[in-house]
Amino acid sequence: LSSAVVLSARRPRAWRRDLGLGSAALLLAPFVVTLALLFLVPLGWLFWVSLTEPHPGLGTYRDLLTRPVVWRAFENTLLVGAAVTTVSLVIGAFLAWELRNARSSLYRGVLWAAVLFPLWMSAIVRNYAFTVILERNGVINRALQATGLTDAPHDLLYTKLAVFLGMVHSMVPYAVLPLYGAFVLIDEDLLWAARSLGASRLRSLGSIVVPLALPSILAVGALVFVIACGYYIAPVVLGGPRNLFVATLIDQQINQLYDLPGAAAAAFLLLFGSVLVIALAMLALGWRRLVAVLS
Amino acid sequence: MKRLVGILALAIAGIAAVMLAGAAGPSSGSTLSDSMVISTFGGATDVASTKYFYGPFSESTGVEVKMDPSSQQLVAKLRAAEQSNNVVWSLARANEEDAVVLAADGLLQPLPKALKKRLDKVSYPGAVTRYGITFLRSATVLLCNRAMVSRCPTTPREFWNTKTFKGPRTMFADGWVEGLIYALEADGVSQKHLFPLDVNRAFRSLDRIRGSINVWWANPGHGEQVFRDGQVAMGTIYDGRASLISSDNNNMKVSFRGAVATRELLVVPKNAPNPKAAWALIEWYATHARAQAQFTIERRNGLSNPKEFRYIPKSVSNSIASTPKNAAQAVRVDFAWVQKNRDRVYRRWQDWLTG
Repeated sequence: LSSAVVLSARRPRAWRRDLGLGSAALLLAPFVVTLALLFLVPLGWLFWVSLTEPHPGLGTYRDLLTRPVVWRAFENTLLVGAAVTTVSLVIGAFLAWELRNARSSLYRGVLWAAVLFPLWMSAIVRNYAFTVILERNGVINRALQATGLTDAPHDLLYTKLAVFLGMVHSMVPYAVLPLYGAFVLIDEDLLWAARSLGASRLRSLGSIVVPLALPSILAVGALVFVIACGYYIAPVVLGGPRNLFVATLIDQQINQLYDLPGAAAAAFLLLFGSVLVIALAMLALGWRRLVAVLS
Repeated sequence: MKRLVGILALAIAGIAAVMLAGAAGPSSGSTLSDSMVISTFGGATDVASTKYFYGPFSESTGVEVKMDPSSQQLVAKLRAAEQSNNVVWSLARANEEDAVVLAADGLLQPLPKALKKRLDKVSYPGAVTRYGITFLRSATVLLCNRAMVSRCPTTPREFWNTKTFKGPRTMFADGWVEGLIYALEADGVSQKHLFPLDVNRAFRSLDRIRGSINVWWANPGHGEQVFRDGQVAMGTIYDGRASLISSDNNNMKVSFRGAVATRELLVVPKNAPNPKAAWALIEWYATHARAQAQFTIERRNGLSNPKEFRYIPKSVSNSIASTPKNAAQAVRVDFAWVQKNRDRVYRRWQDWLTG
């Protein structure tokens, strides 16, 4: 017995999965310090500006909310953002599922290229490409007139539809990559098991793949929605001045009205608005199921 | 563990060093009196300005001139820079609309009296203000592509008449002053009676044209592009752009009737580094009529020295709004009115445009 005690005393401490509190805090410190100094402090300062200048109180917010143009900008941003998120998720899910299952390496290569090339293009070039397609004498209008479907050009560019198309094109890669990661981890035998028990193809996808990938789907939805809400280039290039989005509103607030507190307040309204939408979507889409999957 | 602490300390020291360097700012390294930074709008105008003004000025004085395209956001940037005591520009190109706002804020240096006197002698009447000298002169004019329509409008009133003058149209989205003036002219207000602008009447008139504007251009380059691409047949655009487009395409017809004249000024910020170099550059520019002429021929914008027109061929001077003959037809904007009313009216314009 005594020899056993000696042996265990000599043995190094057993390996543990968790870091001690001290080293965990130290390892986190650079991240926390950077985040606090470069993100939280400026964010707090901006919030402070929106509440105290030019007069203390909620006056800056009240002024914004009495202007119809501000409501229009928020409506455009949140509605187009929601539509872009939904469509990007659906397209992204199909692409990611194909990428997971494709056997032919040529097919997979082409799919990967289609997903990744837009990501490697400059955002400006990507959006300007759509102007060439959509403008009054652009590809679509010429094709429509050449085939005799219409006799006068349509105003396709500088519409919300144009912004929607441009944003979906930009957002699909952001949806595909995390979804692919989630789909790859799903055991294909589960699907075969479901099929062998008589489930239809759709049913087996719906009751196995969707619940297993749900955390990723919700995370991707939140990610795409947040990026879409703050998107500046597509509204400017494809929406034109008549379709104002919040990002462009903030720009005008700074550079046309020289109103920094107003710009700060608009930014916080956007932050609160998009957080609210994400919270509601999570509640509606199955917060409980998400928690169940996670635990 | 010790190594970890060491790495962490280094990382924090690194972050702190970067932040300190940032706080000290570029002013600490650029106070040399042999260089200056000009705030500009970038693009082809910067290239031409360097070729005809900044470059030759550098050669004759030894002052190195650098450009920083900040003038598009000049008011916001200069306010922030003055607040943090970190003005980097010795000189700035400013739209007159921005210049009056900055002057009212007390953020510009008035021209030294002796210099102002000398500048007045070599410039067209009104070119020199308390705070600066005219740089680019331009005007919002009507341009029309004869290849696309049967009849071209030549006045704001005809441009508003969408029945007789059919065709896709464009106007400047941020050009609220020009937009209001065109709307009033179209409604029959004579040039003499425009200011103070009757804002309600202007918006009623604008309501009648809004549905017929197919493209609202967002910046001058965009405006030029929609004409060149044939996306629109007619609309408002700056005279310099119109002149360049019509010299490439014979079907493009410019009308100066009812045009709205605007200009840029060269101004010196309140706490500008090296202001002496800025004054010297202003004087060099104002006294070199030949260089101004070369610039005007290339960019189609008139400048400050009336003698420049001696060196400009008729084909060019006839095509721009700042030529004395054409300038007489153009509306001159009352910028005191603009400065007093812009916050209120710009908001209304924004509501109207997006409604």
